[in-house]
Amino acid sequence: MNRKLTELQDEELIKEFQDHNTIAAYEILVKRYKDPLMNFTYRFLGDKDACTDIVQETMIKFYLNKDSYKSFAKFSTWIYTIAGNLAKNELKRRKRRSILSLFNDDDEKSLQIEDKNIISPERSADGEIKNKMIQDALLKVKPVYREVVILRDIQGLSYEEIAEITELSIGTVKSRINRGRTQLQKMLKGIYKE
Amino acid sequence: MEAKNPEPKNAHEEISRVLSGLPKINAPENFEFNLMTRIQNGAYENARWKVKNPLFTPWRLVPAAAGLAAIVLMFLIFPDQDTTENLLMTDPPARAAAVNASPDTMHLRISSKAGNKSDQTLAGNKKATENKDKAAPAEETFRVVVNPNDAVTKEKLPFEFNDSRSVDLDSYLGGHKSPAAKGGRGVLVSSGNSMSADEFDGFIMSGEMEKLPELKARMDSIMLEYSKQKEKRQKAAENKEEKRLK
Repeated sequence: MNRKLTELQDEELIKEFQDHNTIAAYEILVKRYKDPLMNFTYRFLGDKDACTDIVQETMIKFYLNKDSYKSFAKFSTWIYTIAGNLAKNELKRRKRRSILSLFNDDDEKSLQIEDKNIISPERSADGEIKNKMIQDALLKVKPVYREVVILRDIQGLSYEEIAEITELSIGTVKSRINRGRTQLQKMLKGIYKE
Repeated sequence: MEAKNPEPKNAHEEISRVLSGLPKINAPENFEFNLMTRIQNGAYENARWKVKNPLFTPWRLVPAAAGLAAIVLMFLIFPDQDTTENLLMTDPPARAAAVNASPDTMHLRISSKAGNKSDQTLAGNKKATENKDKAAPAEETFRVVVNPNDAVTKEKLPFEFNDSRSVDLDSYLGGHKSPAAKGGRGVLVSSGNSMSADEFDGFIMSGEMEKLPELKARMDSIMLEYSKQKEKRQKAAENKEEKRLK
């Protein structure tokens, strides 16, 4: 039975879960999407613990509101929408917290990746540091642009899927991706042009 | 379009390549176990999503509570020490005494100043202006009290009334205008001594006389509108009644 389920498409699995409350189908979907969602939320928020919680919450929401999924939509876009909304809520919560907090210990602002004097070219050649710098640059991009850039360039989703997830027109998605990339390009000039 | 954008087209491709080359972040190993445990236990609420508003954490409320307690203690330890009276809320002593006096006492005002009092009351503009300009001599006001044992006593009133600034309202309304009123000046009885004659001219402020026709016209139009509306309402009521009767 399980082998058969693993061969099913996402939409078929959720149908199975909706109709027969098959936990195995739910578990397969969780297995399929936990890592992509983790990657997406991590690139969006830059905090692993928060991302784990968000993905867990996404899966819980999926479990509790399975009937709100309509078969005409793609399962991947539906689950990405849930995760994206939770990630955006977390971002808002953080902003509120940083306003209320007397001591703003936001790492994003303290690291100046554009300043080449701080990080030498030798160090920037190191892969881990490079990745860290790219991640930090990504976190500096406006959230509306960041989301679409991540979905497109990191998650590899199509423009149509991104438009469905973000509830935007394809044109808007394209322009936002373009703007996001331009912002990133300005910040990462010294890194990838070697 | 290309000319306006100085960035080469492949610059974005480079960014895309860099981003797609980032290492994939995977969920922790115990992710599924934790998730299924939560589902089985019905613990759907994540601790992270519980309201963590720092404003309402108990330790943050301590300073506010301490401040409130201090204010309450201040009120308890130092009760109202403000002895200053609100002059607007208290009667002038002379009036308060007059109000509290027994009914069989008679109040008279006698001016210790020589001369006819009515003359003073009916003084014209000129004299009033003189009084205003000069420092007016202190005018003493007395109250004659006839006690139940027919003994007559004279009490000095601390509050001074300036009769030259007063006018009898009844006679004024009755058409018997005093010479002072004729002269275009006059104030209500006991309307106070501090008011300048120039400031108040009977019931109409000086300078408003010209506005009278305009005000009258406005009043007439309001009255006309009111009577029209009243008629309408009456008609509507009648129509309703007729309908009901039918």
